[in-house]
Amino acid sequence: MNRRKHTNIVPVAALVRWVAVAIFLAAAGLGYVYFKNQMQTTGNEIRTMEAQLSTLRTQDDAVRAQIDRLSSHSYLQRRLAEGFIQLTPIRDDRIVRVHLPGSQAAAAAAENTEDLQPVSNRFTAQ
Amino acid sequence: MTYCAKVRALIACCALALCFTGFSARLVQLQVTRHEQYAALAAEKHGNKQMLYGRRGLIVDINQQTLADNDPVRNVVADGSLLAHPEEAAGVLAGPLGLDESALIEKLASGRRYIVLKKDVPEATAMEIENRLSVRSIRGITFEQDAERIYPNGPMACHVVGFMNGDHEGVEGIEAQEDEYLRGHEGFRYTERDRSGNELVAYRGEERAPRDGYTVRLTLDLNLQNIVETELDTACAEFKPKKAIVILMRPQTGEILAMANRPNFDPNEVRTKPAAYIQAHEGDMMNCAIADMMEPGSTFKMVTAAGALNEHLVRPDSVIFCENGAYNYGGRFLHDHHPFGDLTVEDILVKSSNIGAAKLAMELGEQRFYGYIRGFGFGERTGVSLPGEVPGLVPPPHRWSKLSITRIPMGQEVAVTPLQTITALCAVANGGRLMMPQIVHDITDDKGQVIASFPPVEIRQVVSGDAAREVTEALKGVVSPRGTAALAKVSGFVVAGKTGTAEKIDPKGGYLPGKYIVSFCGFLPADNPAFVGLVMLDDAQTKPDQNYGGMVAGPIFSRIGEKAARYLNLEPQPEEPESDVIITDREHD
Repeated sequence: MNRRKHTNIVPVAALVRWVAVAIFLAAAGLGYVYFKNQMQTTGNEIRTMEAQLSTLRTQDDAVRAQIDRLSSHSYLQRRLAEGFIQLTPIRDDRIVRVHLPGSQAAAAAAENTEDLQPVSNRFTAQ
Repeated sequence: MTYCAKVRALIACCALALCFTGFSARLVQLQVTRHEQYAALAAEKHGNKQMLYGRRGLIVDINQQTLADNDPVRNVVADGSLLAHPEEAAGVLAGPLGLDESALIEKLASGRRYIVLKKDVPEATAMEIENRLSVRSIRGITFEQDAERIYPNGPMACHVVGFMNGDHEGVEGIEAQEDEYLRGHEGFRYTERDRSGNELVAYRGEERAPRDGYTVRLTLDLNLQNIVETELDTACAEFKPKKAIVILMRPQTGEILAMANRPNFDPNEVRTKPAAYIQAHEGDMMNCAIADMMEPGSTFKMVTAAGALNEHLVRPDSVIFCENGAYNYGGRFLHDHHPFGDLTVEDILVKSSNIGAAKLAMELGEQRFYGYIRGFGFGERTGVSLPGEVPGLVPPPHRWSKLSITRIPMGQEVAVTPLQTITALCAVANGGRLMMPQIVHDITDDKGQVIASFPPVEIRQVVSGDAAREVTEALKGVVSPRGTAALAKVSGFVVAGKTGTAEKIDPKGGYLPGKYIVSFCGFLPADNPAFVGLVMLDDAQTKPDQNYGGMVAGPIFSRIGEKAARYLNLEPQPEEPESDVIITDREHD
């Protein structure tokens, strides 16, 4: 009776409980550190992406400004004067007007067999 | 355990408890009681308010061709508190920024947290400096985003587009008028940084996104503007006038298709010039089309004729005796440039008879005539969306002299702006409906959604459609071999218009001898106008016998009209037979 009374019984339930608590705390701690690290990494990625986006936007603005300059009337005329762009004025007798349906001229043109007529601003006698 | 041991243990426990209580109290004091103070301190040390750039909106023409854009630049800013070695930083910065190294060291060593080192540094230069600083691990230099306003077409339409000052505020033109829409709104973000200066994204605070400025789309057509500017340059080279103005408008809507002034300026250069230069050239930057007023001369006769026809006091074929060129009224003689006897109302406009116009105005009477002048929009601002418009000067009848009823009909004793003149002619071309001149077509955001649009605004019906048609018929005669503006003819089209040759007013009183403001205002095709044009030259240098609206401004209108008609793809119409007879006008003898 006495021997059985003094036997050291392992408190399995308590041990399991404490081990579970310890594991939970450890996991929570590790999880906290992991998520904190993730936040940091994602934050850095966001920062890098934002910087890239800003750079791209700036480059886009710069390129658009350059396109505006190069396609402006004054620039093109300067290049034309320099002979870089070769343009030949269209002669009056080479201008062909396509009559739009419904216009007065279309009705007149319909009477003629020719749908396309060379015209010029100087009206030629019929 | 002995008693003593128990006492010692108790004392130790109490001491520990007291110690931890002290720590706790201190923590509570730091974290709760003095939270604000330390949070502010931490924020000052590691926190930062980052400004987020909102770019200024664009100004484009009706076809979306750019008139004003932004070229990205950087402002180089230093934080003196983060610079460990100002000398090293100055060594890297001085060369590319073109700054004196010793002055730069002095600035950087001041320890201030916000030192602007240089503004408007090109993007490429900024990137180069950034790389160099990165290689040497120099902290404390930042590159703030900014933009330089550029005008790709240089001086073209400069008076309409306007320009900005160094503080990114619109000063003239659309830049000033629509500044509220064009201005981008900066955003901000509160951030925290670690010891090495990198942002801790997880600790971002309050944030407001920036908003880009809106795009302002004008009614101007750059292709027509280019035609106008080219012809204006040619005319200025030939006649060397003090000022020259050309406006093209669409009569049905009041849209301004082109507006050019001489002298002009390049808005790209305004920012780089010193204030003294800008003050000296303020006149060049003034949009004379809306801000300058002058006596209109004979172009004003159409107002007189339109009023008389609208009141059915006369018909186009009614005959008025023009006193054979000299009319004594109020003790003063009024002359015509040629002695005319009987003229029809139509011929009064065609031949530009001063006496005929005066008699028409007398038929109308002072009050009714004044009503028509105001009805056509003279004496009040047109309401165009451009800054600096003046209303002109039209005195009320109770302030008229006895001679006024004979002088005002031929465009004396009143002061009008070129825009008012063309707007009045637009009313005639538009069946008597006066439209508000419009320069802004719509305002859109960066996604293309319309924020504000400006539909045509009819101000009033000034004269009936019949009266407008009768005036138009008469104005057709002006641009015919028997009229005063045969040289304003545009091949293939019937043009209606009116010349004006007004003597320049002497600031000391009277008129300046030999100085004229010559003009031609017309529209084509006369029966279904696609556009109305005004050409005005102040003090053109030409032979005295050729200094008339029909001979100077008329041919310029003709060249512009021909090119514009071709650009607008207008269908040519049959022409009337030609004649070599050319009559010129001068109303002030």
